[in-house]
Amino acid sequence: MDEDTLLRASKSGDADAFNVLVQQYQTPIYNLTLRMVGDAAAAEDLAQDAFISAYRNLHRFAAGNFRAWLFRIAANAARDYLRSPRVRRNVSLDVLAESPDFSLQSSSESPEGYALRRELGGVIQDALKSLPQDQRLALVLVDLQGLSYEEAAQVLKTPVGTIKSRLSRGREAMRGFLAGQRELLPSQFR
Amino acid sequence: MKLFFGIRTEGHMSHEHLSAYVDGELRGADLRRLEKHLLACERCVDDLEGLRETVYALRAVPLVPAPRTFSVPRAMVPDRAWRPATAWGIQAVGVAAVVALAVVVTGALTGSFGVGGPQAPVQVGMAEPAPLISSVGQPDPEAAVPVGEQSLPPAEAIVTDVPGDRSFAWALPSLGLAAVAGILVTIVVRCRQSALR
Repeated sequence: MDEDTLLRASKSGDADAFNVLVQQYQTPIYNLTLRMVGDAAAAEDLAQDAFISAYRNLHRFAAGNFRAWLFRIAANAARDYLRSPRVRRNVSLDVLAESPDFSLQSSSESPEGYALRRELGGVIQDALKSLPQDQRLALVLVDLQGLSYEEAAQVLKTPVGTIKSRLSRGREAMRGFLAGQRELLPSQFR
Repeated sequence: MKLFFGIRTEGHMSHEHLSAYVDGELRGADLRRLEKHLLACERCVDDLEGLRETVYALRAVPLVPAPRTFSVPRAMVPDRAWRPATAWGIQAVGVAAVVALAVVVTGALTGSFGVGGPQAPVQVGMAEPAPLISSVGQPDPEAAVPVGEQSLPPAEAIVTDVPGDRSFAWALPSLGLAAVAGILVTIVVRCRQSALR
């Protein structure tokens, strides 16, 4: 079944149809919340909340880009979480390096290359934490999740020019951070 | 600091233009200007190279698999849609109820629905006490009650107002109230519809 058919069925109360969409989007949504809040347990809760909220409010999604709509719900949930006083400020993502099967590996990639990328992920996460939320979100959407400028603008409900600006400032800050952490970067990325 | 079109005062390209260029998002005159500038500016070429390395590193970060499935419970059902027809129906009912209330209040105040019909005078006060009427014959001194303590005879109406005047005076605020309430109902319904959109 294509996405439109699944959405129509979901709107009429077919939870199974919606759960097919959940399977399709749960990894990107979890990665969005994870990279935004930097805490695996909180990211898990936020992703679950985002899917439940999306299902309950499905009638508000008329047409268009479902992925962008879903990303917006998750991004708003992450921002609300970061604004809340219960946030633990100093969270590390050591879990990224601890779990042997915690990152996606493509079938064509060597184990060494994959290990390097996972190592890189830990350094990038530390750098992301140092960025303002709006720049972090732009980087996560465009560079880590691969959304186009237009799609990122839909997610954030901002003009494309704002995405360009936030992305540029975020990348500049990230470049400065990575330049100061070269010894932590895998040799391939120094 | 920029002059215009992303050109800095020092004569170099802005990071925003370089960043968009890396993504292939720079077009038209901006693109031509940047490419021409890169041919002659080593510093901007270095900036561009550094930016490309940063973007390359960011894009190399692998996605983390979801630790579990985030399926919604089968028993859960989506909220009901507020279809336009439903929304307008609710608004119409709300406005009709408020208008009906306003009409009833106006009618009650003006006596339009009361005893005597539209032309009947309104009783808004009591008549002055009637003079003490003694029994026929000799007055009984013991039966005489001081004027201030005696029971009052039946009241009589005093005409102090004309129904037509009052209905006009109360109808306007009532209709205004109905209009405001109708607008409020509309706003509430519209807010509910636009939430989370």
